[in-house]
Amino acid sequence: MNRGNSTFTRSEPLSGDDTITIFFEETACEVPAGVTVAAALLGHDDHHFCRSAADQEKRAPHCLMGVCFECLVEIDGVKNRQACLEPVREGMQVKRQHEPVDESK
Amino acid sequence: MKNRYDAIIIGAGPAGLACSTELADKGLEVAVLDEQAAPGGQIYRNISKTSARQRAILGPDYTAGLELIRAFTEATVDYLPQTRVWQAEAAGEVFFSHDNRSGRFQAPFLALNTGAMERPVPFPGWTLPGVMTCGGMSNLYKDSTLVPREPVVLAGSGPLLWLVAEHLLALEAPIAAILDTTPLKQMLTAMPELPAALRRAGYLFKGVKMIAAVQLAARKAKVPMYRQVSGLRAEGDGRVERVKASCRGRELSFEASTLLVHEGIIPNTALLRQVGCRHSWNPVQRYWHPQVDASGKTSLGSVYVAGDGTFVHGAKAAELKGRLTGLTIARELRRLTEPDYRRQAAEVQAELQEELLPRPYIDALYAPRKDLFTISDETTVCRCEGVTAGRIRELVEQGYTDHNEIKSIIRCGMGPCQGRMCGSAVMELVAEGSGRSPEETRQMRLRPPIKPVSLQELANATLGEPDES
Ligand code: FES
Repeated sequence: MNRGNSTFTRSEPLSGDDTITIFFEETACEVPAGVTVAAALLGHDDHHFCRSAADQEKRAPHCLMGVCFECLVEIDGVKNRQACLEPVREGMQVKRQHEPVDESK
Repeated sequence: MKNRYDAIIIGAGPAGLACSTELADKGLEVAVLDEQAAPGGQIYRNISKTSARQRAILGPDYTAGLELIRAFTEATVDYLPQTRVWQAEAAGEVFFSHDNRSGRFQAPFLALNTGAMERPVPFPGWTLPGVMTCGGMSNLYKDSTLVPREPVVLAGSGPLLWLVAEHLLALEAPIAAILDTTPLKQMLTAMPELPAALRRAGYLFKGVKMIAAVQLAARKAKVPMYRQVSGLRAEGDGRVERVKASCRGRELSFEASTLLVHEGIIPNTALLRQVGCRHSWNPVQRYWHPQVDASGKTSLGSVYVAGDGTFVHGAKAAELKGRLTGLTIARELRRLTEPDYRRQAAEVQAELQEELLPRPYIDALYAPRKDLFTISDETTVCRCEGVTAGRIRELVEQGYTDHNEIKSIIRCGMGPCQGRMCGSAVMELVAEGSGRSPEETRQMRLRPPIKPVSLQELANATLGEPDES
């Protein structure tokens, strides 16, 4: 997996069987099992998670605790998922969200 | 699954855990709804899965949560992790999304232990990827052992700034600088609160010693530290590349790819404002907090709040407040006789009072400084909708002093975060422009759903299910 884009590194090594595969923008990434989607992506490619609806600026996780909504991604076809709250699952399809969609209104 | 309970507890941080364990102990049926995948809240995040090394780095204040988690795991409660609550009603109803479905639970008592969040303070560049909160960094480490491998700057005021610096130093992360924004003069204004704090000198000295030890470690690691820093800004093309600030007339600039900020902690009142309980304004810490009595009871009677959501007092106090709320609800439900309640509550209350002794001093020392919200016109305040401070000032000049009105005119606070990130700043901009204290203006309302809920989740509703209880 390409980690060249990440400014973060794992401070503890991970043994082989503790990883699972998720797909980020259709590319397979091996990520640690049990972490949040935000942690998985930040360890892999933290360039950006979504773009702001108003000005299309790149955004990435800010609070990592569910309040800022700057980590919105599309998971398995469902938009508006907060990556910092969602744990990774084998085979999960994650995409950047290019604008928050308010499906409820 | 059942949908009627004796009490519904929202949040599985220290308050929620203590409260639900107390209720289950008394034989009551409780549901615990929490956003995260595992119990612990932010402070004890991921505690059941962290490694020995992570626990060693995070220290005894973190591992203190293990006992609480153990008791909770053994208690008989319906625990729903990864559950987003998007509406609560004083009549005892809670609406939520869980596992791609929406649901509704009912109970005569609700305890909304929504905890706290870091005070969001806009500054130029704060929307750039790479700008995170100190608490966010801590969460990332607890979840996944990630640490910055490229230069990182820490900036702000408060114990959490130093705590995160301590962890990053121990993990040998490349810290480019630590910028402390606490004004020196707050040492003086906090003085009158010192005697009370000294009645729990042990606690106070522990904090002072921690900060001194971090500063020593930073000096050894040749990490530059600056005091009385102001004018923080982040710059870069599409992400943080540089951090700039001023320090007593001197201009500072650091190459960095991560900026960790921290300007204190405020109650997370989103759900509390939606449910409609009454709030008070605290002029020292400058935040709204729900009006509660000693047991956590709000103006709505059957709705309680415990933990940092009532006022930021820290993890230990949150646990004690949760316990008191649990005891009180158990008494209301007649599972505890009046004398038993008095005796048990008095014990918890005594411990809580002891715990709170140093707080007025800490609150004054780390109060939001006077120029904290001196926001330049071009700075984005509402991250979701891209509204600048200048736009908000224009409206305030035209006489608008109500965030609800400002929101409907320029969408400030209308995005997915629903004003959680811009609320404090808008309030201060209104105060600055109108000369009115936030107390005299209306608090920002939140309308349900306060969390995004998809049509699919609504379609998969379990609302109509027969009542199994
Ligand atoms: S990073 Fe703030 S909500 Fe996920």
